Amino acid sequence: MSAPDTSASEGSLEHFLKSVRPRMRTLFAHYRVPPQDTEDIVQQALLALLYQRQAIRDPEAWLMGTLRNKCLLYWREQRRKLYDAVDAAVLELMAEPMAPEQEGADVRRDLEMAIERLPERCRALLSLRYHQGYEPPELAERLGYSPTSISKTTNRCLAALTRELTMTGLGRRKTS
Amino acid sequence: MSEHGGPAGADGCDGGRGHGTHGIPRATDARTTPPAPPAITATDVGWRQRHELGTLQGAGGGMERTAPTMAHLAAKGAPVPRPLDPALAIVQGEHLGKDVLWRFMTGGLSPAEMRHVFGHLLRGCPSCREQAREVWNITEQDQPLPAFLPIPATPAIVSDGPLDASRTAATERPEPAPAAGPGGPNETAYETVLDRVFSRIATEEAGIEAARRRADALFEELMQHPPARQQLLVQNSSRFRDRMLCERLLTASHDEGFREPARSEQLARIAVAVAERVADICPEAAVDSSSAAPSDTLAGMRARAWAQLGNALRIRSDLDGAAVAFRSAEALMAAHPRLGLLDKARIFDLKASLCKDRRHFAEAARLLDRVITIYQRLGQSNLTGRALTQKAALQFYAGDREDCMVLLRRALELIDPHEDPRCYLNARHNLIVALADDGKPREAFAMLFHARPLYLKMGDRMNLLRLRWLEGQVALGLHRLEQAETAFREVRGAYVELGLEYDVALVSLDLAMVFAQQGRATDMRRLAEEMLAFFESRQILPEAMAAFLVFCNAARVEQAGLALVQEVAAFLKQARHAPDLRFVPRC
Repeated sequence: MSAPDTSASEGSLEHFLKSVRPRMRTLFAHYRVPPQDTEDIVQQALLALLYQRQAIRDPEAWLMGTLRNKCLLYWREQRRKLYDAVDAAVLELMAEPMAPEQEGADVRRDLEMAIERLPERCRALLSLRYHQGYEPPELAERLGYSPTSISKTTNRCLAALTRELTMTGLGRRKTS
Repeated sequence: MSEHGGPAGADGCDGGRGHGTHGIPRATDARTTPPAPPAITATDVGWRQRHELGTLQGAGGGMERTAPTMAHLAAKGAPVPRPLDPALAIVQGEHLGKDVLWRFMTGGLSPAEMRHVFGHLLRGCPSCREQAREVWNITEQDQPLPAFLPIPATPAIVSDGPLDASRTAATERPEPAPAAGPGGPNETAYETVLDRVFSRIATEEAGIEAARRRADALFEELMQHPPARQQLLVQNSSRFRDRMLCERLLTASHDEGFREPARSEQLARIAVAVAERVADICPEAAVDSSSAAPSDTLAGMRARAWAQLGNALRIRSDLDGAAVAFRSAEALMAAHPRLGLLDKARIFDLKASLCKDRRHFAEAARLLDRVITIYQRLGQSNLTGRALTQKAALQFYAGDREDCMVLLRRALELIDPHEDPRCYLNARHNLIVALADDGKPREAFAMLFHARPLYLKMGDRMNLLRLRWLEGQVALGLHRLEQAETAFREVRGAYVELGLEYDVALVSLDLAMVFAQQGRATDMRRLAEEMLAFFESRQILPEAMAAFLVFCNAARVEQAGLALVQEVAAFLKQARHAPDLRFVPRC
């Protein structure tokens, strides 16, 4: 594996960037990160390389590993947005004073059924959240989780609910 | 077993946002300006969506035609319009386009838009649900939902918790590749972005070189002053609030850990002060864990500074002080889950050393597993080998010789002897010690024969003494007692001269083993008296001293047999890493 000395001159940095460019393109396409969102990722990683290159023995391997990790982080953040949206939408729905006729009842029933299909741990947590409006710290206290782990647990349950709702509640439900 | 403080950490999500830290423009600033699309009003977008893209349906209409993806348009060179604001669409009573649904599923909308889209779907809009079903490719068969695949499961490495050591290497394996979906960019779509960033980085490189030179000068200037004055300068003078200076101090502190632990601690304290002051002038670094660049970068540096201080305190046997320093590092890691991987690895690495010293071997092993996984993921084979060597030392202290040797052999395969000769020699030395200790002196002898040139090549006195001591131990294992005695006497004399009391005690006991095997009770008594006089004038761990006294008393009455000497020697080796151990003689 080539390990160009980026400290030598601008030429060597250029050479290094030229040599890693195809791999970077492939990596981003592989992880399907939208091009406009890759700019920050690449810039941060390359700056880190420049700042700490003395501690980095194989710059190419390091760069690709770091970019891979940043792509995973990117998607984790995007996924969190999805879960937050599901959470907020369900809370909004449950907070509505009156369900709009039959449709509202169906939606609530869909939601109940989706929660019912989840593991016991998630059922308890989401029921408290959506039926009794518990906030995460209260959930931690009520269900015996540590305050530091409750957000992770809640996220896992929201992930399960999102999957359940999108696969069955929204996708498979026969609509008329 | 010889040890090292672990590799210097690096990485971090280095700056890229804002102009503050690096003077490099925020990437997002640049990308929003160049190919400025014509201003599109909400109405225009709606019109374009309906008439050009077909991504929208009228309130009562069905799907008119299949929507081309954004990538298709980009590939054709057509201007890519911004898709309709879904919140607006819903407000206007319109339905959701395929692109909007896909962007929703991949988290590509604003929080408000995300909430609106899901709320709309949840309330049961039939045509949008059908559309979603089509976009997310849900079929009647139970196939995995592709919409979830572009969002790989959270890698354990980037977990929220700072030291979630329960995760194993197996759970930290790389995630599978995301699946294809609509609108996926092809490789050429990244060309413009890469051009822009590469050009900025090339400019930045010169600035970083200058910053490094400036930091060297500041370091030299700072070192001219006494420690108290150094702290004062760092607190009060803005010149010393320099990130590169902090990095320089951290490196110096790490290096001094091998030579002068007190100075290592002093340098680490200044590094912490500099890091905190740098964070003070970049307030977002202290509080904002959501933004990407300087915040995480500076947090990484601060966390490493605290960890380095913890390590320096550990070396000075202040384990409680070390634990407090590590708590600060962990708090920063918890507040900044997007810290760079090498920063994390470095902190875990140093924390593992503390755990080892506290004899929390399981915790230390878990941390090292994470370190190894990170280095493997980053393709840093030397660092992986280094971490494996540390883990092997852990197994050695825990008494698992077999596992220790397996790990050391793996480490030797990974470490490049040309690139990191000291680490390579360290691993080989430890392997020979483990072999000799495990009753395999012939194998140890053969390996020592091949390793000898490496010791000589390193050439420093400590390494040559380590070699000589090892030669004595292997000779003792092979019952070449005269050779062993000569080697032990040489090493003992050198260690007395260097004032390394603990090593003097250990090598003296090796020498006592020679005497015990030869039945030289008088020599043993003389050795014990000499050593007692030496230790009484110096500080040595009380329990180690107690064990040594047991040996001395037995030697005085010529009752110190081989078994007792071995028992005391084994205790002293263990007690070095566990000052709380109590000696209970069995022999």
